Amino acid sequence: MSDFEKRVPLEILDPGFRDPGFWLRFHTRVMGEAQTELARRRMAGDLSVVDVLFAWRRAVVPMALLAAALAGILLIGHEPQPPEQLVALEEVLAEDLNLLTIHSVLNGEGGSPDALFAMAEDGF
Amino acid sequence: MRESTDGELVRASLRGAQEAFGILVARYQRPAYLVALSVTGNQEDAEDVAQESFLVALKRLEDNRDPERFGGWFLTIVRNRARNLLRREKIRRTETLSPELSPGLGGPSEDLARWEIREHIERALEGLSGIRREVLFLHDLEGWKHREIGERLGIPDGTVRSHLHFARMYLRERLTALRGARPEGEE
Repeated sequence: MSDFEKRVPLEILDPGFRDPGFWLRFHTRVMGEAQTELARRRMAGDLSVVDVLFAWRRAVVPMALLAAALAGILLIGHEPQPPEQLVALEEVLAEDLNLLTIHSVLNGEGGSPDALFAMAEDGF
Repeated sequence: MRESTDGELVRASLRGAQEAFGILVARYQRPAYLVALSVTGNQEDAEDVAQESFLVALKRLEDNRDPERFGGWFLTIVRNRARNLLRREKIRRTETLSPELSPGLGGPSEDLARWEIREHIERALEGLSGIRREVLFLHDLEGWKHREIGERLGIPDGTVRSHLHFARMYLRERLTALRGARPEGEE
């Protein structure tokens, strides 16, 4: 037998050599420790698309409530502005013009009847 | 399922299959222990490292890109964790149990004889490099073939043979020297 074939008996280094139950206990211990992670993996695998979407509810609902609350605070924080008055186009155009209105002419506030006649001919 | 390949067992374990992971543990518990022992030189540390490594491997199973080569990937985790332990504990090497603390099956005289043999072997192994101890353990204790060791350690078959040859030769020489160094009157 060559040197290469001769082996030194190393079995004494194997804990199972002296204690036949060693590896079974070791296996049980490892599997016990692995239970949590294996369960987590099983749960992750069981999740459907609906479950995933439904799970979003947990995050989305509080976020929406928070956003609404923030918006409310911002709205309350601003002073309300007075409503703007609507102005007719005619009023804007006539502003600062000191002219006779049709109404005042017809009521005789615009001068003599001749003048009125002349104005009527010119179309006021 | 016992005959399943490593890849099949890894894929099932990824889904949390208890039985599949249990088979992986049964398949690699001794190799893991032996690789850890080859680094730490201490049986209790080797046991702890092997146990922790299974849990780390399970948590990082997604990182194993080639499930069929689970063995090599896993033994790398074992080796790294064993090295880290050594660094952390300032190389707490080979604290062998005294015969009184290691009760066995065959009574005190047998315990003493076994303890003595174990001590001799452990001392003889101290001079071997980590890779040679690994090859020696996986071949002579676990019974893996050269090819299997080569695949799982990522070294060529020829290198495995070479490591095994030198490891055996060195161990025999050291054991012979240790036996020769016994005090007079001992057998």
